[in-house]
Parts: sequence; C-alpha cells; structure tokens
Amino acid sequence: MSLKLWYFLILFLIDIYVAFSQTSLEEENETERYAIEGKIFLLSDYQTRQANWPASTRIHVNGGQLVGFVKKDGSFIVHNVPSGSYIVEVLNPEYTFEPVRVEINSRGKYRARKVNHIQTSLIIQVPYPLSMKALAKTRYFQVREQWRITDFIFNPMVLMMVLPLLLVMLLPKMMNDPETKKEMEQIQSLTKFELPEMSDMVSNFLAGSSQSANAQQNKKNQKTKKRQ
Amino acid sequence: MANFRSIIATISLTIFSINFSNAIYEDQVGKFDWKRSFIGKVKHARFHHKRLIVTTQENVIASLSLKSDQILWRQQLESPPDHQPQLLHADRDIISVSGSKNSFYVRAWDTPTGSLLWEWSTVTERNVDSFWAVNGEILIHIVPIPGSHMEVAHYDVKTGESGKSRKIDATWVGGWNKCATANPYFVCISNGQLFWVDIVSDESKVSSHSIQALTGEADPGNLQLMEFEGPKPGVLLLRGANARLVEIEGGSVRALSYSLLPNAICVENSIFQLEANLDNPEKLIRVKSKNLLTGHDEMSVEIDYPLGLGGPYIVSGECRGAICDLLLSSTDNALTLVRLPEGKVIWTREEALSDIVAVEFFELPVSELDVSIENEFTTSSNDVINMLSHRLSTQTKQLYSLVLGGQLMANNGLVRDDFGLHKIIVVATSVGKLFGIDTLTGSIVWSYRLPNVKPFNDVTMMLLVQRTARYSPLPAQCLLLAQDANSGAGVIFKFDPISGDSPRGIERLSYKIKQAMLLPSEDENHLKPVLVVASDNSLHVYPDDGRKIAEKHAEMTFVYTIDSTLLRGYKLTPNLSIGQVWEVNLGPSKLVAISTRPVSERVHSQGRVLPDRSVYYKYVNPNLIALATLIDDPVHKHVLSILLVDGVTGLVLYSTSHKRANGPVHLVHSENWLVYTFFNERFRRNEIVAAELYEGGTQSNSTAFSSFGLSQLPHVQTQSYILPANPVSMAVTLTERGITNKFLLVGMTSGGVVEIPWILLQPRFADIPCGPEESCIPYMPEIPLPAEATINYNQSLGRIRGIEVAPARLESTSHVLVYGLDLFYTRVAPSKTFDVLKEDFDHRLIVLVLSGLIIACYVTKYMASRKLLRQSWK
Repeated sequence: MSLKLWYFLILFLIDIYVAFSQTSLEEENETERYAIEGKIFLLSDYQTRQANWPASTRIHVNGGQLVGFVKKDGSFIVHNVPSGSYIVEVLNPEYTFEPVRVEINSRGKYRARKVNHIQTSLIIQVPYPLSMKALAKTRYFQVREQWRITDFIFNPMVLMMVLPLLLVMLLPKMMNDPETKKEMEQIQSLTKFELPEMSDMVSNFLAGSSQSANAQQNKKNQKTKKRQ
Repeated sequence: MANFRSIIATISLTIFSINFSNAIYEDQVGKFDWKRSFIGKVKHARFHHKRLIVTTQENVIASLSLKSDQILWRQQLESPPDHQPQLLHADRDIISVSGSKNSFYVRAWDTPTGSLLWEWSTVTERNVDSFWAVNGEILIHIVPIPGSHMEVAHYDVKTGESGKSRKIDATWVGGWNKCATANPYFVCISNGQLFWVDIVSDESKVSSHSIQALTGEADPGNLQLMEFEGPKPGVLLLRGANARLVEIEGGSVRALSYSLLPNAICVENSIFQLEANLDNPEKLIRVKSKNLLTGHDEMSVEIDYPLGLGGPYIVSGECRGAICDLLLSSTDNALTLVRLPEGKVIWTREEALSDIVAVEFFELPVSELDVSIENEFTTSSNDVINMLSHRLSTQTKQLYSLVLGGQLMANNGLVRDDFGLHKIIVVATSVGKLFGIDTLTGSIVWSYRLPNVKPFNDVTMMLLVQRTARYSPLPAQCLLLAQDANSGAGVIFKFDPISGDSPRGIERLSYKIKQAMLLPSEDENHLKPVLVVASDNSLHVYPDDGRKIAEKHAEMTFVYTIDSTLLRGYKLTPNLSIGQVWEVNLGPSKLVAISTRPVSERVHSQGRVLPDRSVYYKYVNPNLIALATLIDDPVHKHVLSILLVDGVTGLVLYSTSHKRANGPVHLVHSENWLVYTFFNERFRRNEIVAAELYEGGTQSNSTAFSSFGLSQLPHVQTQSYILPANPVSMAVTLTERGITNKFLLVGMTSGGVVEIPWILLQPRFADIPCGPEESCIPYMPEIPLPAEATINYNQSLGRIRGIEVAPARLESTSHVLVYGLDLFYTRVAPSKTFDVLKEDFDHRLIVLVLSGLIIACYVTKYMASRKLLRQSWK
C-alpha cells in the first residue's frame, strides 16, 4: 500500500516574524547607550575615481541590528548602542573590509579586537576608535581564459605533436647536404661494424649454415640502400 | 598555531580552486540576470532641486528622478516596522527623523549623492506616538500624553543639543488623527473645541475655539485633524469625505468658506485635489485646482491614470510656472508622477513588489506550430483528406518558420523555448496585487489587483498550480488563496498565469481557510482539484466536480495543520470529512521556523557509495516536516530544538537541541537532509548544522515509500560548522531530475546571496577516510564564503525576505528569484552547464580546424600518390 501525503504551504506561521524581531539585544534593560565611532580608509585610487563612495557604504552592527552611515570624510558613528559585544562590518559593493569585534562593558569601556570565529578566546586588539582599511577590491568575477600563443605551444599535447613532426621534416633536409650525408654514412658504417644487428646475430647463431637465406637478406639490404 | 593556520589556508585555497570556479564572468553581467529596485509605500515626499525625495514605510529614504522612474539613490535606515520615518524636511539639506517610539535618529543627507552630512540620536522615556516639526534651526519634538499633558522639547537641528523643554498641561491632548502640527502651532480637537498652542515661542498660552462656531455646522460629528502645508499655518478639519481648511493666526482662527476633499494639498496658493471623473470612462481621475484665497476653481484636468492601479491620493506637488508636477500614491502602493496642465502620467512605479508574499514559476505554452504538430495525432485522425490537408498546412508553416528564422515565435511573444529558460514568475504581494513577470527581461507582463485582500496572518498567500501550460489548447490555471481584509474569510481567485486573465474574477468564500492542498490526480481536463479545509474542519473541493476524485483518493490523503504550538494531523474519510489522527504539542516553546521538501523535487541517487563499494541507502521521506522551536531557559538562556515529524503518522523521527542558541533560525529540508542555522550565544557566532538521514545497508522498499512501513528509525549523521555571515533567508537549488549537485543559497544581511555547495556541508562519516576518491572534502570548521560565490556580485539587495527556486528544463540549471526590497533574478548551475556548450565556445575555430584538416588530408593524399608514382618510375 502506497500512502502519499500531499501538503502545501502552511498557514499558521504566526510567530516567525516575532522571533525575527526578537534578536538578541542582550542587555536591553540597561538604559545607558553608547556610540561606536570609527573611520574608513579606502584604497587611494578608489577615492579619487569615485567621489560618491560614502553613499554606497554602510556600517552594520551585529548584522544590521544597528546601522551607521559614512560621512564624506569617511568617519562614521553608530548611535544607541547598549553595552555588549558587537561585530562591526563595513559593507561596500566594490571593496572588502575585515570585520571588527567591539566590546563595550557596563562601565562604558571600549575594546576592539579582531574577529576570530574559530578561537573565540584569542584576543588580538586593534585600536579604538576603529580605523577600517579596505583589504582589496572585491573579486566577484572569474577571469576569462584568454587565448595566448605561448599557452598553445607549451601545451604537452602540442609539444608531442610538433617535435616528431620537426624531426620528420628536418632530418631528411639535413641529409641533402653532401657533407653531412657523408658524415652520416660514416657514422652508419661505423655503427654497423661495431654493433651488428641483434636479430641477425641471433638468427645467424641459430641458423648456422643456411647461407642462402643470408644472401637473400643481403640482397634486400642492398635494395633498401639503393632506395635511400 | 601558525602551522595549523597555513594548513587551513592551503586547504581552503585548494577548495576554492576546485569548487568555486562557478562564478560568472564579468562580461556575463546582466546577460541572464536582472535586478529591480523598490522603495516601498511612500510616507513623506518633497520636491527638492529638481528631484524627488521620499521616505517610505520600509524606513527608506530615497531620491527619485522627475524624468524617469529611476532611483537616484536609496538609503535603508533601521529595519521596519519598529522603526518608521517620522519627519522629512527639505530646506538646504534634507533632514530626516526616523525611529521607533522612544529612540530617534536625526540625519541630514546630501541631495545629489545621498551621503550622510551629519547625524545625532536621542532616546526618550515615553513610549507613545509623537510629533515632530522643524522651525528654522530648531527641531521640535512633541510628546502628547493623552488626557494629561504634553511635553515639548527643542533641539538644535545640526548638533542635537537640547534646548528648552517644557511641559504644558493639556487635558485636551489626543493621539494620532486628533492632533496635528501647523508650524509654529500644535493643534488638537477635543469635545467639539479646537485647541492650539505655540510650540516655538516660550509662552505656553493655550487658545481654543468652538468648532461649531468655526464651521457653522450644527453637529460636528466625528472629526479628525490632518496636517496641511500652506503659506499660512493651518490644518484640515475632516468629517467623512469632507474637509475644511482652518487657518490659525496668533490667538484667532478662521475656517475658509469652501470645502475640500481630504486629499487636498497646497502648492503656491493653489489647492490641488483629486476627484473621481464619472463623465469619461477612459479617464477616471480628474485633478481640480482651486485658488487658496478665493476658493474659485482654477482648472480641471482629466489625467491618463493607468488602468489597473488602485485609488490614488496626492502625496506632494510642485509648480514651476505653469507646469505642475503631482506625486500620487495609490491603495496598491503604486507611485505615479503626473504633469499638469496636460494631465500626462510621466512614470509609474509598482511599489507593491517591495512586499512579496508568494512566488510561483510557470512554464510558457508551446508555440502554435508545435501545438498543430501534436494535434495531428489526436484530433483529425479519422479522415484521410483532412489528415492530408492538416499535414500540408503544418509543413508549410514549418517551412515558413524555417525560412523566416523563427519569426513566427517572436510574433507570438510568450512561447516556450527548448531549455525552459524562459518562464513567467507569478508573484502575489501583500496589498493583494498579482504580477506576471518575464524571466528574460524582468518586465511586468500583466498585473491584477484584488481589492480588500490580505495575506494569511500577514505572512503568506497560497499559489496553487492546478494545470500547467502543457495541455494546450487548455490554458494553464492557477489558484490564489488569501484572506478577506475585513472579515478574515477566505478568498479564491482563479486565473491564467500566462495572460493574467480571470474569467470569474475574485470569489469571496463564506468560511475561513485553515489549510489547503492540491490533490495528486487530475480530472479529465488535466485539472488538479484543490482541497480546502475550513476553520470548522469542513472540507470543500474546488472546482466542485473534483469531489469524485477527492472521494476516490480519500483513503490515502492526509492533511496537517500547524499552529503556533500545535501540530495536528488529519485523515480524510470516504464521505469527505476529516478526523484527527495525531497531535504534537510543542508545549511552551515557540515555533520559529518550518520547512518541507519542495513538492516537485526528485531524488536521483538512492544512496551513498561507501569505500568498500557497498551502498548506504538514503532515507527519503516525502512526508517529513522539519520544525525549529525556541524556549527561554533559566540556565542556558535559550534552547533551540529541531524536530523532524512525519506528516502522515505524526511520528517524531529525529530531534535534537542546542543550548544557549538563539534565533534567527533558518531551516532547509531537501532530499534526505536538513540544514539549519542559528546564533550560538556562547561563542557569539552563527552556526550552520547539517543532518543527513540514512536507512542503512538495506532498502526496505525500493519501489514506493510508505510512512507506515517503518521498521527502525533512520540513522542520522550530523555535522556543524561556523557560518561567518548573518543569514536572513535560505533555499536550496532544484533541478529537473535531481542529478545535478545541490547548492545552498543563503541570503545575508549584507545584501549578498552566496551559494554553498552541499558537499562542503555534507556530514562526513567518522570511520571513513576522506579524500578525493570518495569525493569528500576534509572537514573545515568555518565555511568559506568567497566573493566569487556571491550570485548577485556587486548588486547588493535590500532587506532580503525570501529566495524562490525553480528547475529549468535543462538539468544543469535552476531559476532563482531573490525578493525583498529588491527583486533579483538569475540562473545558477551548481555543476556548471554540463549539458550545453559553453557560451564562449569558439565555433569558428573548430570549423577552421576541421576544414584545415580535411584540406590537408586531400593535399597530402595527392602528394603521396605523386611521390609513389615517381618512385615506381625510378
């Protein structure tokens, strides 16, 4: 028996939005409010190129629980911050910034340190008021592979194809030169003397007296020589 | 330590090079993606230096161009609905006051760029609605305590320095609608009397006047006050649809002799108001202007108000000589700029799209040509001559389209393409307006406004697909289920999702909808009946003749409902009523997230291959409901519980809990796994957990799944990771056959949507070595989120609310729509587009190489034969 349940969207999702808005402002009941201050430094070329960068930059504290905006000189203040621990992020569509953790204790003392999610107890302090420097231009895109002749030539497949081709084409050309031809022949004759063909030796040794076969072989050799 | 780090770095580097080469190329920008930006329902508007400055209910301040509907800049302030814009003042700079009931932010903005000039904030102790006014360099905050007194505080606009603050005893002070500012006065109505007090100067002298004497009307009735900006301080006195302008001067007050409409505004001594135009059925709206002093009519212009928009009202206006611009907003949140005296509509913005509550993707119908080919075998198969003529006509058409290069397709517009990449997205918005959006261009194909409709619990509407466009000539059919805005009773709207036509229009039901679902089987018209459960547990089938099908399948149909704390499962009886079968009480904890598997999802592989080449079977249950609940705890602050409940039997298959964990919780359930994120309060970081369900070494039933055929609970593998981001929405990619790898799409508060390969999250088996031959990536505690994985690259999206995914007909690709304040559509290919050639594939090169090789073949053949000939002659 196959049983199937068919269901669809759920209607009674009453409390989801409540929970969303309930994100943790831990020390809510403490009335004292502080402000997080800092300044943003972009890479110099960017500042000169695009004068409008402060408008497209935002400061998020704890993922947008509190927001700050950047003035034209790059400074920012996030108001209404209760004491607690916060991650301050700088959001800019073109540049990447490193987030900073800012801790404000109940007496209003500030401490800024690097964000380390893996070792949360490791403290590397950074100066406060914050100075946030752009790490680099954000690379969203993959770089298209461009066709370059060197890539093509040094491709192993191409090398494997080209080198034998070169040998095949160039070696006969070198043979045409009379001097090299002579030299080659000399070398060939030398090698012939010093290293008789292995198969011949074996067959000679095995066949012993069958001279006729040997004669035929010699004839064949002569023929091939002629062709060359 | 350094060693450890370098290892992590190298691992992550290799991972990047393996997995994240999925980013798009820079020249692909805008090729198949598009983004539409919105601002929300307009609250305040000012014309300023030939541009429009608006604040909206989304707590956004934006500048719009007067020439086109373009947004020049937009700044998102603190998140709504807690924080709302309170005041917009445009003088030399733009000053905005926004905030919740007791904390306010005062900010000044640079008009051309939208960058911040200065800001300060203030916190008050009172928690009531308050009023703001600007007078020169002074910002005035008025806090009325109804029935007792009012507190007036002065601030320096630029520095936020507190000036004088005082209390004025005023038992007559009321709340919203009963009081208004009329710079420099604060005016209230109470017991048929009009009270006003100067809030700028030091004296706290309260003046009053009888309204009856003012207006000369015997019975003042139910009165309201509205702000009115004119050359002299004044307020609008509203009674029903009738308004009178009351001007205040020192201790005296006078009402102007003529009456106005409530939406009247004043621009340079002229009053503009909108009236319904009953004379001309094509131009339903008329603008009338009156002279402020005399009350005589100056002009009356019929405007080309676009059909399909809701009833308009004037937000703001500006006149330059004889030309006047009026900004209209409508009940469906659309924003229109009208230029007088021509009455021409310059632009319209559909701001309803900034609050989407339901999304569905629809395939387009096949072209006429394909239809005729298909019909050849069904309709005219009885007559030989008929068949011949049919064959001839279709083949001429085919030839025609071949010669004209598919122009036939272009004429028809919305037709299906080969890969299913062209679709229509139907979205339902919270104001009850439906839109059909083309995926290729992002343009609105059709829109349909449903008056007096609201989402269920203000969160969602239901879009149920009864018939897709596959069965031409029958049109596709979709149902929208929502709630009546006044009575809360159910509303059904049947429409064709491709054209937006609705033959019957909106149908208001007599009962409240508790749950609704689509039945699995089709009737003879390929229509899937919809089963609606009313709040009194009675069952309704739509359309009515689908009852038979429902009765046939009643034995195998189960329904569940989810309350804030209760899950209930029901079973259908053969006479179509429902009886409760099970119940899960979530007790005092609160439901925070819920997820079910997408209905159209297919699971391709049945198991995971282990190193000894045996198969570990997946537990794939289509009836699972994943739930997350939160509860306050005296020791652990908050405890998060995750439950997997079978929707048929009510059996809890898996549950786990996390101590000191808090929301926001996001859940995604797909195939045999579950992924959820939460905030770890102990380590103050977001964590993401993956849980995978396995049946074990043997599969109990390989042909059909049964929730009742459970012999043992599934084995669960889990693993958790650090997510270095703040997620706001999560979804998983969906493809046609489920062969392609899965990507998790995570929308973040930063406005980016990143793709995380499932293989990075998939729990690793403890006893099995992890390596490339097992296609397993070693465990990394922190999930890397490189910029290349951002699918919306540098186009940050405002306030992401949801991500909707649909498969294309190409197995490798799925459609993604991210909605929130912005709309962003793109296509993602988790395993790269393995089934089509890359778009940068060089067709010319391959043709050149092939033809070169062929020519070379023939040349060498010829040369070889010549050489052979020469040799044999030697």
